[in-house]
Amino acid sequence: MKILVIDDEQDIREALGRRLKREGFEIVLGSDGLEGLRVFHTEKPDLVILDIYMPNGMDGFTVCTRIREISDAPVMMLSAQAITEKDIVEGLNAGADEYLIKPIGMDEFVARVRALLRRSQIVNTDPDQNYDDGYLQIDLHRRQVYLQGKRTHLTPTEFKLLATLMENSGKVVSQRDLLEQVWGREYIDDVYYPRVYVSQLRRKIEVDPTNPVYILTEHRIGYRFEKQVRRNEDH
Amino acid sequence: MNATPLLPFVLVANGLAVAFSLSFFVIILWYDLKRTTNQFLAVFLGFLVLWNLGYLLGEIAQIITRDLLFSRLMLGVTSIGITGVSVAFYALITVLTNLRTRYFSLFVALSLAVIVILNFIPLVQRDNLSLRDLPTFLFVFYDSAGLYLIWYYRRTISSSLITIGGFLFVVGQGSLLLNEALNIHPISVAISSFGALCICVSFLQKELIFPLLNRNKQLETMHEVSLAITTRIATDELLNEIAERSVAWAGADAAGIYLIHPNGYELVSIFQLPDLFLGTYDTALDSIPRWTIESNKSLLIENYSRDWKGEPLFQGISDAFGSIISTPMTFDNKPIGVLLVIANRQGKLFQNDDVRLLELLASQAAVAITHDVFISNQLELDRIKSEMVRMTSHDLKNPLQAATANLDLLKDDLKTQNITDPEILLSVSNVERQLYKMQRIIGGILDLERVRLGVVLKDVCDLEKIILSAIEEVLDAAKEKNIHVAFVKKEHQLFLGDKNQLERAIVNLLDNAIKFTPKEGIVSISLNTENKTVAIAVTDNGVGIPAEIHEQIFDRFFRGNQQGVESVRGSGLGLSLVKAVVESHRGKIWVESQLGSGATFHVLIPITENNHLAKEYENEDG
Repeated sequence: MKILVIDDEQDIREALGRRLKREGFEIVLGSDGLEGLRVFHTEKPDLVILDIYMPNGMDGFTVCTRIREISDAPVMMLSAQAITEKDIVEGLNAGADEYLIKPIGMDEFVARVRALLRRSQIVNTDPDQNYDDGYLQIDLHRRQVYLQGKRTHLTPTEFKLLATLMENSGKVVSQRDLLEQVWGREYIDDVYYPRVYVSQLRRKIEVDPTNPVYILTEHRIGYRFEKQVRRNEDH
Repeated sequence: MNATPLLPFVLVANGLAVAFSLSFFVIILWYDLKRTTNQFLAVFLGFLVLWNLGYLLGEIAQIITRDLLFSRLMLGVTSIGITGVSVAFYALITVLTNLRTRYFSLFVALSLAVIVILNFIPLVQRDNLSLRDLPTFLFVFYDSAGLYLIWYYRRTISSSLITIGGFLFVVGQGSLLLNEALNIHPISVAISSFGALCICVSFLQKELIFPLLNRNKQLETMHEVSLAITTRIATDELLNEIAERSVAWAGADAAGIYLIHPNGYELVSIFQLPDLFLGTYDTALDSIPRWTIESNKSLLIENYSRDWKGEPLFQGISDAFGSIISTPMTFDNKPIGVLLVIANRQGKLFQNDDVRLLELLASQAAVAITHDVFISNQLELDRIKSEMVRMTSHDLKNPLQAATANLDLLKDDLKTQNITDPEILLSVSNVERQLYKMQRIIGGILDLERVRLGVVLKDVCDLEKIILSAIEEVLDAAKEKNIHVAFVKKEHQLFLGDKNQLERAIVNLLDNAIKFTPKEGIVSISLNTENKTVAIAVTDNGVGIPAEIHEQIFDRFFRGNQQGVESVRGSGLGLSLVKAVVESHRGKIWVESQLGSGATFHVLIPITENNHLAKEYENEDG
């Protein structure tokens, strides 16, 4: 497993790298946004650790957006910036799978890295669970989603969220259960994660994200995936 | 005097004139006799009544009794009235135009005395005609003097009714000079009386009716200004509003507001003055604004080009200025600026009344400006503080992250290389503890900032669950000191709030209680709901808190240093966060404690329409 750490603070970058190396990961480093992107292109890492506030005109949000244009690799933001939930939501909206606030204990950091990698590699082998209504097609086995036959890129977290909701289709999945199943037990208090990711997901798969038909909100309880009647091919 | 066909009408007109004059006389006496103008008006009216009455009674006596003595007496009274009223007329106009000199009243009194005496001489000595001509000469002299004054100072008098009335009065009196054979006297009396009535009406308007109407208008303007003050945020807008209002209020043509600035007096707002003056500084030593500020008194200039000899105001356009009032805007007895209203040459001539009105407006404006500046300073300070908190905590968090990460590696290395030197391990654990402390302080500052930035009341809060989970969090610390934590639950009700912040606050309260409770002690937390208010109380049996710091303990970074707690460590932010969270839920917090016998922290959170939870959501897990 290869992890890219992008942070302009050398001491942080290297310490994180050394710790992850001791955990058995292969490590590549980037000292600012531009170099980080270059390394991402050449090294194709399995996970990116990304600082937000960086010099030379390219911050973490931009890097994350650029990475999302070409890859589904999980991105973990690690920043000292956030004060309110709004800051975190902003980071997640840029396409990150995780937003950690500095300073974070090393053990927790490693645990979160492992959880994120785990999330992105779960493979479902039951072909019966696949879904296809003519407009939306979900292939759990190959972890791929198609809209009217055209492939749509979902990040690992988005895919996991969609898969979890779809496996429970017709039933309400509470925020708590979603957090536990998609993100992991240790995320149980990060209540804004589902909200942010559901809206991302709607933007990617719903015909009209403001009037969703697939992922419905059960006010104050959770979310529900609703299967649609198979549509005509000419939809 | 022969009867004419017109006589009955004239008599009726005279009777009416007497009645009106008398009633005006009474009104003026009753209204305010302390004012000099009113006194002179009363004298004027008195003589007018004499004239009318004398003539009227004389005519009636002739018709009814033909008693010659009575007729002659009335003729004398009429004559006193005629001359007396003209002296009083002159005196009144002189008072109106502010031309009175020191011995003026004496002079008038003497004149009147002379007239009375002169008029009684012919009553006694019938043949002395030469003396009788003197009053005629006197009234011609006083009338023309009065008329001249009215004409010359018509702008000062600023009442066309007085001008017209005065003119008619003089015409009426002058017609007496015409051939007596025409028997024009009754018509003269009627014209003069009408003129005098005009003057009286104008007085009543000025003294009674206009002030009443004005008071209404002023109240309205005051109200509008107050409204403007309370609703406007921007100082600029407020100043413009005040400038505009002052023009409308004083009947002026333009206005400007200067504020004291280190560079001089800055013209911060203008109304109907050229824009190019806006934002300029007045630095001259003898300018109107400086004079006003330094004397801290209002300055009334009746005629700018005639009376003002200092530094010209608004060079280039000042030729058009007529009357000017410059009033200091003072707050707490210190001038903060100047309100300047200008009337143009043909415009209004300001009086002392206008000055008083503007002073009222200026003081309102001063309060508003001071208040506004204070608020915006406060907002700016708040913003800067917020920004500082963000910056510093960000700048501290990165080094802290680097330090913790490296310390972690170091600890790992120590382990793998089997280093067990207790000295080295002690140093490492000390560093680790200090880093953790630093992290807690930064966390505390940011927690507080987060609450300050706004708590959103959107979670379904079940305080029983929240308290249980808070207790779980502090259990380790309690166990360490062998402290028993008890939870007493009575009624509880769900409401909308910020779950995480509330839990944070309760953890801090419990933490605090545990910190100040000796080993083997008891900390208890109770939860109850009564009268739509959630009540939480956290009680410990620790060292207690002296009464004088019961308020201070909720301040940022405050740390008690009473006996027995020296060993307690903390950031001094815990309780201020609790207070901030409670207040953001519109609640109250206070402490009850006596030194040596523990403390109880009370928290009340009201359940209102804002955070009330609709029935349908109860029992559902958010």
